[in-house]
Amino acid sequence: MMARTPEQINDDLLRPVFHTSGRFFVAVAVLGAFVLAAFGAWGYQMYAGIGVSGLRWPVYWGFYITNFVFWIGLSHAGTLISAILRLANATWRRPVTRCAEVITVFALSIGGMFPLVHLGRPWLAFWLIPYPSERGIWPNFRSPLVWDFFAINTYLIGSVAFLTLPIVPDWATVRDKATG
Amino acid sequence: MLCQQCDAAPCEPVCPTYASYHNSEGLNGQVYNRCIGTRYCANACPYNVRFFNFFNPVWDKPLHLQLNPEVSVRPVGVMEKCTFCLPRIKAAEIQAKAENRAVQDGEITPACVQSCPANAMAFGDLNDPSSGVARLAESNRGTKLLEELGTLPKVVYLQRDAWHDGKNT
Repeated sequence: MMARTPEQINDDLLRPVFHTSGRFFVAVAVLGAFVLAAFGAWGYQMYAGIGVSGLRWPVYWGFYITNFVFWIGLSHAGTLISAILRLANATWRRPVTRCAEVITVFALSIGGMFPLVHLGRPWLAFWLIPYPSERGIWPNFRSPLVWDFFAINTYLIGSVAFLTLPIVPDWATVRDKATG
Repeated sequence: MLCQQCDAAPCEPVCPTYASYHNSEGLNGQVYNRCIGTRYCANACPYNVRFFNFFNPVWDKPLHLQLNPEVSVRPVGVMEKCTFCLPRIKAAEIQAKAENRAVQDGEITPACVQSCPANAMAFGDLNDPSSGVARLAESNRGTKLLEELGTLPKVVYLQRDAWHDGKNT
């Protein structure tokens, strides 16, 4: 097998960016149907009450908090892998760290949705944000849940930066190849 | 069981929106309008005396007529609890203020105290040492539930003692 030039490697890597196959749209349609079904289920839960998720007295936290912890755990794994490889200066690390960082950001985004779904009145979730309201009510800073909210947002901002900054040279390559 | 109205209530510091809070009279208030339904307070409560509206409340006609006009209807997704009949407390206080006097002992009766045929419950001002409820609470028959947790509950349960059992030891 002939050794590939960097130019050919770039072409191979960027093929899915410039050519969209029919299979991609089929996958988007199938997965999008799942997302729509989830929104429908969430709407029904908001209308009928959180009891439709099977929770009853005296069990107040269930599936959603479990899922939240699960996805946050996945995102921690991504951060751990990319950080350890970076600290160990492993030269082969780049494709692995990119995967790990993408896992971090997307697992965190998915995990962050679950506390919202868990709330009894999710349309009022913005009361967790410390903003100066006309009634002078702030979030209760003694509550661990408020700090949970802050921690997730800080972690999300950090990991998005961690993903975005190393991806800038790759965007430059895409820009150089783009014709449209 | 009813809310023990703790002085160091575990439900209060965990609420992210101050829906569960301590009012100036020492009651564990619950602000339904402020509750977003995290259900953290109910998880923190060692007595399990908080109740969540897991479903949208419905009253078929004519049952809607039984709703108390002095108590707000709590919507779905909101935590509720025993308030010691806060509307009755406030009504008595407003009445006393209008008549320019202090609230008298026994003037306020929560619905549970009023409706108990055996007179098994008493309600009053614990801060006033001369009130009937304060004297009952001081008796050595009094116990507080899960006191060892440090929640400082204000509800006192009176045990039978030897004298009442006829043993007179």
